[in-house]
Amino acid sequence: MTDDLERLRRFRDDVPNSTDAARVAARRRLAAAIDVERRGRTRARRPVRQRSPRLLAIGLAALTVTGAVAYGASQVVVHVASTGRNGVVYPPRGSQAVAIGCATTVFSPGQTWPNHWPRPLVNTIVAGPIAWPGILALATDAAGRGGPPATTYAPRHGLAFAQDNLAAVTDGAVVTLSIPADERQRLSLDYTYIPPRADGRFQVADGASQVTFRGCSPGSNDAPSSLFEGGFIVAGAQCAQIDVYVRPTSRPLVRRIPFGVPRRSCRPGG
Amino acid sequence: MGADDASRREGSDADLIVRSTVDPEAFSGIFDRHFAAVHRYLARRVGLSRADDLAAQTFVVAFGRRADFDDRGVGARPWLLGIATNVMRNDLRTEQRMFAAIARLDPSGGGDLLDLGERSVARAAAAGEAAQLAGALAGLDTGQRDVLLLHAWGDLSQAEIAQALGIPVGTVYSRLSRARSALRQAAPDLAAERHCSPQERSR
Repeated sequence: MTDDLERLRRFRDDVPNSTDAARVAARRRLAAAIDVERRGRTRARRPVRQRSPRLLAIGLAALTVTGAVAYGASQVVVHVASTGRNGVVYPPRGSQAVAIGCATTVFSPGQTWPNHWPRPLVNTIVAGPIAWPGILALATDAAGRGGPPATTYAPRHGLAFAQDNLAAVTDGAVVTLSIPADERQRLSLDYTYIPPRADGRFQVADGASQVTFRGCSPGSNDAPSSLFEGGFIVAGAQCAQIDVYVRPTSRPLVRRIPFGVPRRSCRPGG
Repeated sequence: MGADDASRREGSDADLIVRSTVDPEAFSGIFDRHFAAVHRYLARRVGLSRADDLAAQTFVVAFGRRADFDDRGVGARPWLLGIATNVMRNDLRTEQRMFAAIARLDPSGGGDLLDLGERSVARAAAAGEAAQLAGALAGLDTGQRDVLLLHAWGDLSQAEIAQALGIPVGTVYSRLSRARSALRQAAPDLAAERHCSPQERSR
């Protein structure tokens, strides 16, 4: 019997070593931190100037005002943009339409497609240049078995389940996903770094109703597609409809994704 | 040989860290020695592109906390991997997503997604094993996964993991044992399974 640790050591052993660019960038960040400390020391060694009582009073007043503002700010919910990989700044939570590009892909240009990924893939929904690998494994059989049970998707304390699934977009393609208006109360898209509300859950409105993916330039990747991490915010088991717009056509490709429901129920008329 | 000589000349990790409290630039020596190992550990856990950022963060955080470094004669690697593990706390969802995505891929069937090339039997078997392992890892709780992966991918001993995570060594043994047991249950030996046809493989 193969030792379990040995198998684990082999798993993901195909991850390439760091690139020179990554090392240089990291070194630069460390150098900046070192520089900040060095400057701080230099400043600390400078003689402290005598400050007038009037200036001190002004400083104290400024501190008080700043503190009050900071306290006030902490009392309200602030929707701020979040920063993802490669320093990409994402739109704040609840943005209706979001566009993301190559910098946010899971395996960046020049990096290898994981060797242990099966090719070709099954359980996959494809719509033109976009595919969701493995997503049909989320369907149940007719008896409600096989995939995640419907209860997985039941909202808890008003918060919906985040169903992660990578999206693979053909390099060079631009494709827009849109949730139909009448579905937006129970489904949204989460392909940016949206912070969860609690327990890894979200309000449906935290996600986007429309996401545009721009695949990496052709040839920039070892694989022919760009992988975007993220998924769906799903309130209740459902057969979720996604409209996929591929330029230059204006008519969407309609795909239905079974989240905790039988696959058959997602067929037209099913 | 040359690198060893340079290492001896510069001193141990502890020497460099102590020296860096007077001359901050000395900490660059720690970066040069350990960046590759830290980056690789993170890349295996959260993917290559996230690892670039997190490895950089790890060394910035380590530099800021170097006064806390407690040398126990094992060098700085356990300490750095412990910091790396903490730095990636915000990326647990990324890791979870990645393992879950790999686990959901079914290596046994057909389809022609994106024309990715030919599938060999060996690759499918390896993919099956990867999917099982990924599923097992996704199912572990965070504490168990940290201990298991610091051991398997960070090559740390139980004592070093205890130092890295700031937990008692008894806890490390217990978590490691539970994690390995969960792993064995979720991903049993596939040697026999490789002789089965895809149709026979249970889902």
